[in-house]
Amino acid sequence: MERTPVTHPAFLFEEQSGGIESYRLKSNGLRVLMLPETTAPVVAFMITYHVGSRNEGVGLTGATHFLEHMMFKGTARFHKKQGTSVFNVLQRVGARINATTWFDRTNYYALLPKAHLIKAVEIEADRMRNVLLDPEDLASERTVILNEFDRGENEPIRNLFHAVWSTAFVAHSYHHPTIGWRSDIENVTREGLRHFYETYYWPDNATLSIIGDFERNATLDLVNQHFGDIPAAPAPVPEVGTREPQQLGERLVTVRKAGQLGALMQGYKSPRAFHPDTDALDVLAMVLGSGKNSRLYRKLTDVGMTAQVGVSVSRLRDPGLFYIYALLNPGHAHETVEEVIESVIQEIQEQGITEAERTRALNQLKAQEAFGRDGAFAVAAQLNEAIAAGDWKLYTTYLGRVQRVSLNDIQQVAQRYLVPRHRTTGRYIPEVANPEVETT
Amino acid sequence: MSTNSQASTRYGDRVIDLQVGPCRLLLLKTSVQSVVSWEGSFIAHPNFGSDEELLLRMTTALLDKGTQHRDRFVLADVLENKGAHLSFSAHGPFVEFSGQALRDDVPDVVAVMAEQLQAPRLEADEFEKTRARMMAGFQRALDDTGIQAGGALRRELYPEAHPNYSTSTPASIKSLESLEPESVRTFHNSHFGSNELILVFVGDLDVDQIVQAVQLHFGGWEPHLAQASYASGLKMQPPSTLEIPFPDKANVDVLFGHGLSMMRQDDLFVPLYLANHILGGNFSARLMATVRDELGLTYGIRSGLAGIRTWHPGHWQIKVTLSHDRLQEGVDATLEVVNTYITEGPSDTELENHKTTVSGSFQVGLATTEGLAGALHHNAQRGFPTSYLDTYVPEVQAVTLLQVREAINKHFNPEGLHQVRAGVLPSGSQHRGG
Repeated sequence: MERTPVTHPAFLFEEQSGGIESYRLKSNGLRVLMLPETTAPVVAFMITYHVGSRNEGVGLTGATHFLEHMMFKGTARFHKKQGTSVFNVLQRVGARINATTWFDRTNYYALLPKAHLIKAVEIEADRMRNVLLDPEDLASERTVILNEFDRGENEPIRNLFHAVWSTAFVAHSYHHPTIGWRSDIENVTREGLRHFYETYYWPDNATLSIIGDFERNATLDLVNQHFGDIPAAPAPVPEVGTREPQQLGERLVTVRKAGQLGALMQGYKSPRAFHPDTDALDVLAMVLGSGKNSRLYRKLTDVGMTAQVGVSVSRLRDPGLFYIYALLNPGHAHETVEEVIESVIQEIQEQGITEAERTRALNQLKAQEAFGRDGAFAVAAQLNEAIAAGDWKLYTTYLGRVQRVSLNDIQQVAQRYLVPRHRTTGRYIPEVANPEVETT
Repeated sequence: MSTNSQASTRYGDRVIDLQVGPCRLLLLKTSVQSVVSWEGSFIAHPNFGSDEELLLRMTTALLDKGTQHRDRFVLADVLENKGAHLSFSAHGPFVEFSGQALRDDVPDVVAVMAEQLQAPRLEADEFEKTRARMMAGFQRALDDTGIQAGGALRRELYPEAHPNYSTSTPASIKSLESLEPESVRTFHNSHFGSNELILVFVGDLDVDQIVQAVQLHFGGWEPHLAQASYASGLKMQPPSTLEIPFPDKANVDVLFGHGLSMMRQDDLFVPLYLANHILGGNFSARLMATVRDELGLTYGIRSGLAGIRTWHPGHWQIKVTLSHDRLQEGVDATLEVVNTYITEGPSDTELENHKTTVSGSFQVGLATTEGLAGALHHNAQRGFPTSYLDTYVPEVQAVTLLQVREAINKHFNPEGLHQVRAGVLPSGSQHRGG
């Protein structure tokens, strides 16, 4: 799978892993990851900035996400007034484009026919330093984001997710929803966003990922041509120093809104992405919640108490949450479902899991890894989360890491992390009000 | 069987097209490593406008709850130990299935799929659990502004026996309450079979291995005797405005739509598809550029051709999400963009740009094994030749401005648009005429 690295005067070859090569642009420190793959004549081009809602303080919550929107309003060169808006230029050639913001990162991506890769490179290089932040654009985009906020508020599970995270984290910025608090979206200023942009949007705080059907040397030429003259950040990007204090007791948060059925989410404090215990927690999450033979499916969904149950570990830069969510079926109380979850966890804490369960989980992860390489965009999406967590090789080494997890490791992390004093329980309690349809 | 030329890049040449027993089997080998994706379907012919559509959904939901030979956990164990995915769903008159597995595991997973389709256990206790789960799904749907608005619009546009009709959620709950386990067993006996059976496999294929597996597990599957029973016409009635108030839902889903007297194989389909794409097909289309980008009134606005098949017509719809305090402003702005577009028509430049967009998107959509399997499957379901995947882009490129204008004039009528609003509505607005 290993290739001979490209020798290019503008780049330093760093390393390769799992078929992905890492280069560093000498002039400004921009990292470039490349995975040539000729299955289809398309390329995924993605830039990941190492900034997310983790980097926001009170008053500027939602700034990363707001800025993500403003990046599509463009620059002097790529602007709707000239018929060259980012969407116009890229969608015209059939590109699938968008951007996302999360706790630790912001990514902009395009999946496009290979002949048009240059367009995506030009746009990302230009808007890295030249975004306009026009006041009129800012005003119209603010109401767009407020509508996005309202859409999220319509969804019970999103309400519950925000309630659990903001209750579980009282000091660390994972407390804030990525979209921000409504009043911050309403009040953020152009200067506030500009300051944010000037602090974080630099080549040495970003990683490019290029996956698909492209020629390596020519592509490095292209990247150098468009990014090479951008200077490195004038000052080091500020570190996030706040650490979440240890949770000393169980927390309970209730969301009451008009609705039909209840939902439940329990978050246990979990370690950062690269902590070895996170690998064991990943396997434990699969044993608990992946597939019809998982323990929670059998105890909750199969017996009709829940419509759905899921378990996940947030692999983030800083410690996050191991969380369990359940959509309750009619007639089943939150407390009853919580008791079942507690008994399932206790059983694992006391007796561990079986080798058959571990093997099944690892086989699922192995297949997922292969499926995840089907298509350039699928690879980019997974690579993005590894980059955000702090090391892109988390993607290429993941399978090896989880395969080393032993039965004992799993029992130990269940005992260490899934304890009531580190738990935050969120209950979504619907207050029934049936909609009425009126025709005129 | 068509020839399989490795040198050709044309799907018409590369896809192996076989008849294996009752199954039309399409196979496409790609250079992806280890992964195989597949999609397939058969036609069940439920009697639309009766409980049979719900019975089809219920029966499909019970397929993975055990078979006459193995219980649900044993079957799940086979799949989960291989990390394979298998899913079933009901779409219109079809039962569709899809899967993904590593190359060497495909025969075993195909065996599970065939067993679940042909010999499900359909036990009474699993029936009750599935009913409870579906009931919960309906209750959640009652809480979803998008689902409620979409269903209300379809009830305005289609008669009850049309496959695109959407039964109201309270009526679905009532029907679900009255279903009996025996009716599911009877439905399976009379509507599950190899009628119009299609299977498409794409990826790192062992062709002989798959042909053998399909022959072994589907070769003897008999067709059922049910006949098609549905209305293909549209409901013709003056446009209405429906308002569905939801407390606590600050975002209002607004839908506009009217029926289209067009089927997928009509000559004007591609020109009309482009006409709609220019109006609201993507971020750079007119609706998004004006109502979102310029006026800042919405996070999302789209227009689309919906539910158009080769066997029945569908409808045109425009969907916009609006915060309740900007509702009327957003509705007015949306209609203004639509009216201007219909009156003026697109420019040459717009058409050329969107032709490139649609062609490029098509290419990008075929970049994964799942995307290819889906495109080949739905193409076969429509009765189109495999080579349509090669001729689609030239067909798009050949569309003229004149054809697009003809399609607009013939099929889009802003004055005929029905309107549905679901969410927090301004006080007293429920009684406003439309």
